[in-house]
Amino acid sequence: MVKVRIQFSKDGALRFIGHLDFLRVFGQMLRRAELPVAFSQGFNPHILLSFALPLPLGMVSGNDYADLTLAHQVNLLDAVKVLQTHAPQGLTLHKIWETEGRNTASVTATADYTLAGEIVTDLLASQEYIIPKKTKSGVKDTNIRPDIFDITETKGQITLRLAAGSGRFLNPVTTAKILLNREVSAHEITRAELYARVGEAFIPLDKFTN
Amino acid sequence: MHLSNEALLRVEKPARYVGGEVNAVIKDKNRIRFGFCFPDAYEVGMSHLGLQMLYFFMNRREDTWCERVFMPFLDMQQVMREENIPLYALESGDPIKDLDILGFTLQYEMCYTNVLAMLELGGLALRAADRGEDDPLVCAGGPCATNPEPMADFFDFFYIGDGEATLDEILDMYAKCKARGLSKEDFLEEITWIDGIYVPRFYDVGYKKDGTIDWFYPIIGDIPNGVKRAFVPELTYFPDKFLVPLVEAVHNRVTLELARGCMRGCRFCQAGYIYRPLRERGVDALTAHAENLLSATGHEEVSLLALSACDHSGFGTLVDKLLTITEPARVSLSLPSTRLDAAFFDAIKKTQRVRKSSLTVAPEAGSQRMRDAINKNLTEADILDGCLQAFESGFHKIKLYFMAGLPWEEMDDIRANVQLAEKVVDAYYKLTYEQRTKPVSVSVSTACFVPKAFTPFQWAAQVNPMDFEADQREVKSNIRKKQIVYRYHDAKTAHIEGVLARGDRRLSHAIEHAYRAGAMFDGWSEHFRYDRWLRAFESAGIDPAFYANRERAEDEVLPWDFIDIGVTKAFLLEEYKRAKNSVLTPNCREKCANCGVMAIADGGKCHG
Ligand code: SF4
Repeated sequence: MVKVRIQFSKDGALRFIGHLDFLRVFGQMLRRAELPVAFSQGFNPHILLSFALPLPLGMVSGNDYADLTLAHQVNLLDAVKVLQTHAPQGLTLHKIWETEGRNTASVTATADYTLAGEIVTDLLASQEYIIPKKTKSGVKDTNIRPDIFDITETKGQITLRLAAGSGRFLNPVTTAKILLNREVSAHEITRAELYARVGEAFIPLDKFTN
Repeated sequence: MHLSNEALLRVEKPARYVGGEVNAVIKDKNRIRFGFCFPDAYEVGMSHLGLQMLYFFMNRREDTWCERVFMPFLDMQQVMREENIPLYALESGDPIKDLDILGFTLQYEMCYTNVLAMLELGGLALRAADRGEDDPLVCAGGPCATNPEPMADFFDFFYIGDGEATLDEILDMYAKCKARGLSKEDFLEEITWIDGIYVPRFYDVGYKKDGTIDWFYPIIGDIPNGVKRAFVPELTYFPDKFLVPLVEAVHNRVTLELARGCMRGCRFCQAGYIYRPLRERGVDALTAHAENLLSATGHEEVSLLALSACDHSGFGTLVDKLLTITEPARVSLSLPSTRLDAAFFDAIKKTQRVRKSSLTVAPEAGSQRMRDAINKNLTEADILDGCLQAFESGFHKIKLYFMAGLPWEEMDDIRANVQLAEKVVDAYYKLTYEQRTKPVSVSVSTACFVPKAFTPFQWAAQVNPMDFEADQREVKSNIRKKQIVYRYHDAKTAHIEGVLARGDRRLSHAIEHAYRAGAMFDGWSEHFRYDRWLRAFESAGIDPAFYANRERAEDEVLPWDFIDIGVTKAFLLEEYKRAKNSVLTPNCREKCANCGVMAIADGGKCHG
């Protein structure tokens, strides 16, 4: 068994499907490409495949990541090419490499989101920014400021670095709405990169080793 | 695509409306532009084998680009209106108005209002007579096209029979007519001589005082008096690809058509007559298709489709061969459980699906008298043995399918459904205590019988919905065992289906009224409104009972009589009489009953 990490991006019609549909579509691609994927044990075996972080409906992604277990070693440079020929429209495979240790899902801590616009609200100004947030037990005032790590703007292109892990997660659409002080639709946003956190540093997942 | 991302994100599951699926065919526009229209939701249409087959069949032609069109849900319709976007074909995003031919598949009567909705969303007039020379030709096929009359006014032509038979001829003719600059009318005249083609505008109908049909004949010269079903003696074509939807469809799997037609001759089953004779695909070909299609789609399931799959003469070998492909690839093979015979249990043991699912059995009727009337050819001992075997192999959930309202059915017959279910429960307790690992559950599902054209019951009266409901209450009150659950179909939907299924041309007005009053997605219980249909009949001056609940005289001209489906009217009538006396007719392998279908088969082989 070989654990590999796949870097890809998602665009086109794929922005219109949810996480579970994407999981199926990705699995179908792996099957068409006849990659020697490994399966889970049990009565309903499934491909050992997981994603770093579900992408909200409507968004596209720049660098996105999946973990896959293969039954045996293959030439990973070739695998990228083979997968690309079987990929659905809008899915671009960048690279595949062997990996060890924790899954991307558990190491992902933040994400960069980009969108075009003009900053109206200075979210970085203070240590506190309270918004009402829906939780299981009703609406609760929540300080979102600790989940905002950076906001930059160059030539009308805004980049937000927000908490985006299984532990802490800040909704990029909600945040962008406040930032731009206007309605924002998910399709305006690209999730450009995912990072693991090492101390104070954020490492893109393709540079990160456990 | 004409809808903005923003607009698409306002609807549920927008991927239904954007195309871009794996294996979708994109061509340049300089071709015959065909829109395959499925008058139901994307998820339903994409699960339909006929769509996959005809899509790739037409697209194998250099000169044709076949695209798909589905019925948008209400939220999407709203957005399309707001954004001023007419119904478009998924591949090109072009409005359906710009295509050359729109072909609707009529799978069930309750989709008729969706056809009208799609035409209107496409900016087209509903009636063929009101559409112009620049509008596309609009045609229809599928099982409901075997009684085309209720929808006749909306279509330019119907295609009756096997798609592979003469579709090429029609497209060739279209190319020729287009090249010569001929009119729609000229094209329609040309194709009347092709098997399977019915052009309603070239025929007229007269009625007697009592409302029945007096005459039906061509009103222009040099066209045939009737329509002969298009027929392929051998099933050779099967697609090498399937479209793979991005959103989850009803079925996400490779479906293999094992056979077309059926050798059994159950008297209520339209498919059992209109697809005769039984034509099987070879085991090697099927295995190759499965292999191809799995690598072309990446699906995780293979399913076997036929009216009675276990009757395939190579069924056991086929299952073995398929398993050699599916097992190593961790693909599941699902078997339809039409008959619980040895072949089925052999297969199911090999596929090891026992623990996973419940088992469906269709006795159709609880009493032997009724089972004989419908020619089910199944004894109570067969059913109970089958269920016992099922329990022994580890099933503990059995679904029994029945039909309520069969001709000559009496209260005792209805009670017999429950009694049979009780005996099935008892069969479970024949297992040893150790074998009974889980509590048994038997569900009784009753559908309301709808008499259909080209069946022996085409003369029969349908039970009216009030009586259906009384029957349903009777079944319910008779259930004493807690292991039995009872489910039944809506009698009111069945009533409307009953009217449409055996209707004539006059019904088009009622269908239009219903649509104008908001009828859409009538096959979906949450959208169906019975009173809306009753009002539509009233506005159109139509008595629904005349069509649904009236027994026809033997010599009555039926609206579909002008179609030569192969099986003769004399044979069907004979079967109707045998049904009345509960006399069985042996299946085609045992003894040919001379149904007459060989006349259209042009030397094709048949059983018997
Ligand atoms: S001709 Fe005979 S064998 Fe063939 S379908 Fe008809 S009844 Fe069956």
